[in-house]
Amino acid sequence: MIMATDFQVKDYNFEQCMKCSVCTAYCPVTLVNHKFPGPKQSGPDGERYRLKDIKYFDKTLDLCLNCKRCEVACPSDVKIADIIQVVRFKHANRPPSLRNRLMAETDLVGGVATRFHRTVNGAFNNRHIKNVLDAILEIDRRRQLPQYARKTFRKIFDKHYAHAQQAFETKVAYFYGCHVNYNDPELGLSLVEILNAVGIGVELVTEKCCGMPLIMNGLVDRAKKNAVFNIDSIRQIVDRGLPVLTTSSTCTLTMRDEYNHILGLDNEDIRDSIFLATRYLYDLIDNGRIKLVFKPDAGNKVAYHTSCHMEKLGWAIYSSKLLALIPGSKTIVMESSCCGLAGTYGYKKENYNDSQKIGKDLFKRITKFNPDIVASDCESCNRQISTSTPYEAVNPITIIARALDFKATRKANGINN
Amino acid sequence: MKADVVFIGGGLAALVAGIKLLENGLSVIIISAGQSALHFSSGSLCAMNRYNDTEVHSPLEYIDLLPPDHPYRKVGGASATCTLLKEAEVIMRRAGIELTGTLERNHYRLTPFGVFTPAWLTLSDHLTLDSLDKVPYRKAAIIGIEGFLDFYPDFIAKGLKKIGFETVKSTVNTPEFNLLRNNPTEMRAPNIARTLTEEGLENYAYALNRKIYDCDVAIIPAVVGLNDNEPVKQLASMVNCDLYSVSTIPVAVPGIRMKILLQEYFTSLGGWYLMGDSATDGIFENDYLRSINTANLGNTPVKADRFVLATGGLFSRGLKSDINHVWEPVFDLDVDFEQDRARWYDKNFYQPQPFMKFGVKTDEHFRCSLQGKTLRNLYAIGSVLGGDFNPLTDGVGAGVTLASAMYVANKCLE
Repeated sequence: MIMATDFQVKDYNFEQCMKCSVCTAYCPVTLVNHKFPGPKQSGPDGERYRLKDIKYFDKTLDLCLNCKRCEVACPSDVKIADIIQVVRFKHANRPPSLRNRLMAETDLVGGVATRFHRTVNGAFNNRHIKNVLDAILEIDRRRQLPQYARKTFRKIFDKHYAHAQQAFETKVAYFYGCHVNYNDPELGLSLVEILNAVGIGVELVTEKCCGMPLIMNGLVDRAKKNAVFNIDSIRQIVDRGLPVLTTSSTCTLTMRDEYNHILGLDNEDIRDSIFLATRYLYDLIDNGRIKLVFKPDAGNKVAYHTSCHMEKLGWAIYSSKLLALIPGSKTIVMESSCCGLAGTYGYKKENYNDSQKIGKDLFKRITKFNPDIVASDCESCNRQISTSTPYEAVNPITIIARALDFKATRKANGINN
Repeated sequence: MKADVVFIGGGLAALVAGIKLLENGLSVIIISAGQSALHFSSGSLCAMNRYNDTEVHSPLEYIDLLPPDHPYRKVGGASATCTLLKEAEVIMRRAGIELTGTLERNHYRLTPFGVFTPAWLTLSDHLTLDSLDKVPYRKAAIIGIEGFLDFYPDFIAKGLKKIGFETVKSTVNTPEFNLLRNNPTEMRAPNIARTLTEEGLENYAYALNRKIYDCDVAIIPAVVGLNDNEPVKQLASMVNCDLYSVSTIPVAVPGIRMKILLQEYFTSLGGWYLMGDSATDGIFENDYLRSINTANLGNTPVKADRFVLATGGLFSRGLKSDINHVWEPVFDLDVDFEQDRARWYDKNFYQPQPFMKFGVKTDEHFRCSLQGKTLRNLYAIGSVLGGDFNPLTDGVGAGVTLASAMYVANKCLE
């Protein structure tokens, strides 16, 4: 049994805070919710008091989204968001509610929901059922609830794609994550098809949810179990010399940084082998190792939105440069700010209004740019932007797949048929 | 990953130089470890305020009297400095920063402590005076915000009275400020600024108008217009007399506004601003810096024809120190500093502090050196520079930053 009190922030450097408050100026939550004391006060500043006496622990810390924008802004490299998450684990004095459990257990809910996808999708679109969910579970009725796929990505892959992968000499592993598996298998299949077209085979990681929804909903022991499982599974792949690709900025950040920084697990040997597929593809193209050939007239006006965790990873440059390779496309990187959904946060009834207020400026900027399509490496942002603006928002890999001339690409990379 | 020029550090120097390069068709990446010292800027930039013990009115007159290794002399003396700084000024204006002032003659601006000090350029919504002998207003309403501790109406009033203003002090409150006061420690200028749009701004204007009485000018803390000047203009149009801001204690809205406008302009020109990333080391071939590595890009090295170190001074972690040493943390470049620690500082806090002169050693073209060997394509600009100048007491910080930035930008274009 893992005790929640075991947790400790890596780089526990709260004393480096010079109280400048630059972090608070970039916090999406303080902008809309004055109950949240802001990152400086909740993080390093409050830590000094909490060390003295835990009576200074404050449940307003639950309002933190763990977006990490405070850490990106901090001139002194203080691990502000890490400090906040860990103190929440340590001193949470109530078990998570049924709703938070349901929202956090993406694997469990996703597994059941895909099996009964017709019923679940119908129910999630039904006004009366949504009212009931709102009243009983406090899942906001104004949200469009996720739709589940007929078959999981893993099942489709195993049945229709797995066999063909054996023909490839170069291989990568793919950590597809819950969103691809249960909600958007198309995205995963697009990646497999792109990689195959440039001569790279794919195998799937034996995986559980990365754990971010569990961390954010207070199921930290469950998160740690998933993390141990994933690290072990990825380690076996990395030991064979394969990189592990992802298509979600949140899963990526969680496995690279959160496992070590806040869950205290040793992932040093695998960290640098986990990266977003956009980064992997861009690097291969940049080094002249592969070629992508696009359809003529595939160019679009694309607004690239940097999700919070993408901002923390610092990798927007890869995804947007990759999108810019499509001839005739115009990719603009929007000024980075939080979309407001933040995983499960925006679904909760008590957060709906704040969530939409946080995203307001982003929606305005996107609408002003008036793109053909929005791209983001975060499924949660894409859901929020698709439902809050008139534009479709998708993963960059989806846009690449739509624009790619697969036949010509295979030929350019010396792949037969 | 490759660009023509890569800047390590993302403050005033890198942004202005980066914009100049982009405008001339080069590709530019800026790598910025956390937000820059611009977040602490009062909204005034100084070219030179003091020469030895004399207050300077016309900075250009004194430049050729400076020691030969002073950055102003290195860029070519008074006329060259004039050209470079004026070009930097034009770039800042093009980015949308509205400024008052000229290099020919310093004006006076009001510090948060109510002291009038000289400046070269100041944000146009701030109170500035051409001379302290002639006061353009009769009576000033100095209006603070209840519970906001980074603005001192008493000090401001004292400073204004000294030069002949009549003053009335007061504070205002609005529903928005009431909410902010839930977290008294976060009652800071940028947080206030974020509430001052639309209805929040109207409520603030209404509250201000009730405290103007018979005054002909209102003076408020600089808490309006975080992203641009628009809210300032809206507020001015709603207030019943002339309205000026005075900078607050940092973290300061004026500097953040300058940074946001510069960064937006830089990005709109196609520049890459990698926020929250930091350079970790470089791959050298003899005297040539081939590429650098960064924390976030990991095994993707960043290549460039030229690299510019703009990481700032001790405050910004561009220089680090322990009890005996001062060093440059990215490449361990040669650094000028006093070996004897006892001579790092003057015990009288108000005296010029020798450590202010510590910084990276550069040749006549601001190229850095490693173990005595000058590097062909690595330059240093801004506060990381060492040399015989004290940005604080001489009031040359922004001027040296911008002159060195523009000079190196020109070198990159050769």
